[in-house]
Amino acid sequence: MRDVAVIGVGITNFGNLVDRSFFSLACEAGQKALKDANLKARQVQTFFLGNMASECLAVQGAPAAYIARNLGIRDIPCTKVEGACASASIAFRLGYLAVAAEMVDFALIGGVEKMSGASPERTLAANFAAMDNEKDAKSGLTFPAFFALCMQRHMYEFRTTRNQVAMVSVQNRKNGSVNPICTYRIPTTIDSVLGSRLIADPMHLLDSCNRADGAVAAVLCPFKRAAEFTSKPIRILACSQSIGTPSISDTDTLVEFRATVVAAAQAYEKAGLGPEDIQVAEVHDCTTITEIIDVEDLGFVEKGMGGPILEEGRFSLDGKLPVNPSGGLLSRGHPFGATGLAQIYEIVLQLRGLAVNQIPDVKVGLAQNIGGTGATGTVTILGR
Amino acid sequence: MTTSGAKLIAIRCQECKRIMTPPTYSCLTCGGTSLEQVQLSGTGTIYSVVTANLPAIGFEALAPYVVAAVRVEGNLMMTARIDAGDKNIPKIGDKVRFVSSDDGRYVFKPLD
Repeated sequence: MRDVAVIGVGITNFGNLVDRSFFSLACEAGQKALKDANLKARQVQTFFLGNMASECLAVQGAPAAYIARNLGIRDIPCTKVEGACASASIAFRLGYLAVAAEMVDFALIGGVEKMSGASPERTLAANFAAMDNEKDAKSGLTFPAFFALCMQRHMYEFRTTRNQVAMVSVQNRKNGSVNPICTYRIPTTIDSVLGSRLIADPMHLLDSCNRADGAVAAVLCPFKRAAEFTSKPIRILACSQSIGTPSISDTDTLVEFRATVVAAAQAYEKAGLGPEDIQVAEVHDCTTITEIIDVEDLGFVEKGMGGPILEEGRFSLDGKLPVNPSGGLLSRGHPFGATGLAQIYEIVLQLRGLAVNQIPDVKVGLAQNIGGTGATGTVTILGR
Repeated sequence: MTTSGAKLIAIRCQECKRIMTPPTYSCLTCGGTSLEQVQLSGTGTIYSVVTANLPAIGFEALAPYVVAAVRVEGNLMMTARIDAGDKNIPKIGDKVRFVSSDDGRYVFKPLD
């Protein structure tokens, strides 16, 4: 296995982009990434596209092929990768493996979801599709209810306070308020979070991310060749993936996501690093409580200490380990198939020194992504 | 609808004895395929519980309704709707009783 570099990235604005098509979003991100990498479309040797629900939301199957042709790519394998909300980070991993294994020199990775414009029925169907529909959904579970169950249990077991959980939203929305790609750029307060309507009591609307349209892309090549294309190559130190426990009836805890724990252990070992070496992280804050569980599962704090340590400020922009400086899913919005690569995009910017909320002198950053109700997860560690 | 006498049926792996909710195709722990049906007592403990204000597909008429992770024998966790009727919504640690499992739609109620 050889070392692999990220040599180009591109992103669209995220938001309710009603006048933008599925293809136009994907192509904007792809063209930006290729330009950033100084690479021509015809040089791309494999394309992995993260996308969860184009068949349902955009009524478009085989999206990797159509997007590739619209980018001027021909005669190479182009593959859609689906892992619910972790689709794009899994696509990234497959591109990384293809380059690392010396199968190709140049891989293009995309992530896209076009959610506005779909009927309420299709939007609902796409959302529930990521749950265990033979078990959990049958008994009335929803995504907010699942994460609310996690919140209740976390507050019960560890005396995490409701205010600490709400603070995740306050912190991330503050970070996102200056990030032009974010859908939600108005800061919020604990009172506003707890005053917003209940979606799965005790979870409020502002505890949860919301849908968005958006696309992201990245270009990978062998690290040894990266200098031909960029003065700031970013090294992929590890990119690990594991399934977890997709259904409640498969788990014995709702205060930990096994997929994250397993992927993190593998990623730290591969990178030869530990949680104490991470200087900035983008974690999967699909809801407020998810972020608290994430920072524990990643080993940034002891299990159960996510709430108080967040309250102390360790994960804020001027804290010891800034988490979600981009604003996270809570600010960016959550186009299912794009989110995983948007997190990696932010870490690449941090390592290049070009992020909106730039953390000083970042040498190692981490991105963590979850699909479904803990069905699958990835942990990616990047360095320079 | 009368549900008295409804039985809570689970699946047990004959090799490692793990208890699972049906349908089960392989043991989730050991991958074993020798599976047998077992009847559980029908008594469980609330592991976590919330109110779904936004309903799942097919549950619109019930919203808001109570949904829980209920722990039963063999450390098995089950997703279930809680029909508390006139009683208080049970809290974490409270005992609940199995009511019905119509096509995998599990319902429990507070234990008297």
